[in-house]
Amino acid sequence: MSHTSAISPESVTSSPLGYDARPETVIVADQRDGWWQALREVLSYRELFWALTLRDLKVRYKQTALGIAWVVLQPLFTGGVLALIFSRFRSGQDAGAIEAMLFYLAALVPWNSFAQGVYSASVCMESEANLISKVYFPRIIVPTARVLASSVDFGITIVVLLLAALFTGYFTWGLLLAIPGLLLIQMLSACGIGYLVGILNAQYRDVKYVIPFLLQSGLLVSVLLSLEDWPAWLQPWLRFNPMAAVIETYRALVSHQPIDWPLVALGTMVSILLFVFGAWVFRRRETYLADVL
Amino acid sequence: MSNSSSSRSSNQASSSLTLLAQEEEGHAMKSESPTTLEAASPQPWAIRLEEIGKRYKLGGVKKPNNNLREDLMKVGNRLKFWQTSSRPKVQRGEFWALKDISLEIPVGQVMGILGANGAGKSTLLKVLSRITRPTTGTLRYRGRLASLLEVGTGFHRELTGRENIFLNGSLLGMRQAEIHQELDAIVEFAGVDKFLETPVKHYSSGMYVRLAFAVAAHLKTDILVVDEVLAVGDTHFQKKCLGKMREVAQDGRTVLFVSHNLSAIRQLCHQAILLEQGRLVKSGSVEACMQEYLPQRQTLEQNFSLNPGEPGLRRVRLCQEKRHLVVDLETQFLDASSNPFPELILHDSHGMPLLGTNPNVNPWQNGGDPESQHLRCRLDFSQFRSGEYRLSVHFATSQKGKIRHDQVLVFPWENELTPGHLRPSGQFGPCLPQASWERMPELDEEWTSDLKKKAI
Repeated sequence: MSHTSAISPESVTSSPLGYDARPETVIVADQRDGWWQALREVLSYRELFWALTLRDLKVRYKQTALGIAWVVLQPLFTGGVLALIFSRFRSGQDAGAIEAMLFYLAALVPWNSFAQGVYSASVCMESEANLISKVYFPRIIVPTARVLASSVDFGITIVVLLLAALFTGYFTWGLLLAIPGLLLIQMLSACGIGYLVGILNAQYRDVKYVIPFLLQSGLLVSVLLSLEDWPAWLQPWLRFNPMAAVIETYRALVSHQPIDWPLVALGTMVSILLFVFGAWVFRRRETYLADVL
Repeated sequence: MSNSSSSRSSNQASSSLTLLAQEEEGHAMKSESPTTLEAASPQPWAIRLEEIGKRYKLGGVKKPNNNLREDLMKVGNRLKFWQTSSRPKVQRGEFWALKDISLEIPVGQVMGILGANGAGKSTLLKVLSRITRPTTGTLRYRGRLASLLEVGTGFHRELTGRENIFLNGSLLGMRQAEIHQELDAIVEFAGVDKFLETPVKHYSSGMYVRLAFAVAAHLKTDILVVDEVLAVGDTHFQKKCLGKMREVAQDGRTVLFVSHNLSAIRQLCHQAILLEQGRLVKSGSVEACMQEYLPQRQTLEQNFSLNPGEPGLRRVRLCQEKRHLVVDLETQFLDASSNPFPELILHDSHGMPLLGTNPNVNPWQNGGDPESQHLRCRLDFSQFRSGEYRLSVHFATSQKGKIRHDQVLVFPWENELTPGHLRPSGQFGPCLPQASWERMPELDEEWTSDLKKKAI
């Protein structure tokens, strides 16, 4: 839609001299930026990225006594409860309490951050409607900042997992090495799904009622049980879930099992596809965002 | 502001643009402000609109124009089905909020945008600030553009003053380094230095607004698009804001300014455009546009067309009853719970506001027929000289914000104490206070005796 060659402080002077040298922005009806220009524009707004991410983080735990400690306590409590109640329902597993706790913690740490990112991205257009209808910036920043903020939670809780693995003697260096790659899969999927549901929710508010239900189902499918606990005919389909790749890999690492590499490769592919598809849909619909909000 | 003027403008616009072309036609203002014209013509443009149009669908969503959207729409409609199955699926009409706007705004100009409610002012600003995309036409601008459509966009209650300055600044397109540079100036301008580390939810509403405006006022962009932000804060702060705006204007930056405060537009703007039902009907000097915008002949009654069910004012009528003005408002507020608070504002013949009724009075609960949509206000106007005055009617509604009818009536006022003065004398001002005079005993004996000696 536009051609913004630069939005840089260098171009700002208080005198109108040399005005013709200013970068010219052209907005033509029914014309969209190329991907490359759009990307450059997003990058020129990178400071807004951090400002919005930081705001989400600061606001979330303001006026709580325990503050950021909640991030740590949530997976610990949930993991403890799940380990107590559900581990005995998993077929063919007779592992001890420590192993059960690690099994759930390894799933909850990435899943909570993923679910938080997707959920907050799904409602972000609605909750930032005031912002979007009053000031221009590349809209994709809003859901991306939400996912980034949820990844900061991940950064804290993963330390809990690492410490737990360390104290129980299940720590491997592979676990540490796997984190960046797995985080990337997780964030790409969260962004892709977040873009898709966020932009759809702007117009069809039904989406935000569907998302919590889907996330809950996801928790059931990929956190409560491991992939191999499912019936064999269902497993090939469940492997398309990119979070299954993330969770199964963490689980394999904390239980010293071999990593399912085909699953990781599939997860990487699916997450990239999700990201591209989400961004594509988002860009198609963002033009008239302010009109439908 | 009749049909003839709008059709004229559409011809102009389609024949293609510009401010200058239209200025030649409105030669009246040429004689009024030759300086601005001289300054304007050799300057290159900062903003250029080419046949900009913006269409909205009434009561429907945008019609998809490709397969993916169609699919998503189908999914969406299916989802809608179980939530609100009674919703009619028909696409109702469409309307053009803006149509064929062609305009060039030269660098360094402060341009006012005039127009009644729904004339398309806000839509124009939204298109200019890229919040929404035009349906037709091309928009070009040079340099960095920032829009200030609301004071305190993105402010968060839980964040401190400092955090909000940085967040708001980066939303408006400032760099962190720039904000750091301006931080002291911003804080000083807003006068909140003691509360910089306090969450803004503890601020008074005045402090909040001051801080929000201060951030925006220190934006260093080439083009600034401003919508009705001076309507905030106390008078002292409003003056400060006006001063700041003037400073911005003198900096050689280009400013687009929408305000219902007509005297602010008079003070700040070099040029103006007048919008009417989405079309550009006049562009030229501020005075020329105002003359077309405001009724010039005396009118004691105005009717407004409202859609069925649309809340608003249908008719306003005024008459003089001895020492009182009697204003009749026929309204259309079917939702009794909204309780729109009316506000009458009286201006002198130049449009300067003289007085306003208390906007916190709710006349709907003063008894009377609960079904009636007719309000009558009797206003003691005996303290004003004979002359010509103007009346504005505003309603503060909960759903539609403020409904404004600025200077809708121009009426003569006959005060029996000052018969014959048709215009309030500039020498005296419009007010005729109740003053009583008496002859008093001498204050200083010595002085009067001196006077008497000299007289002898």
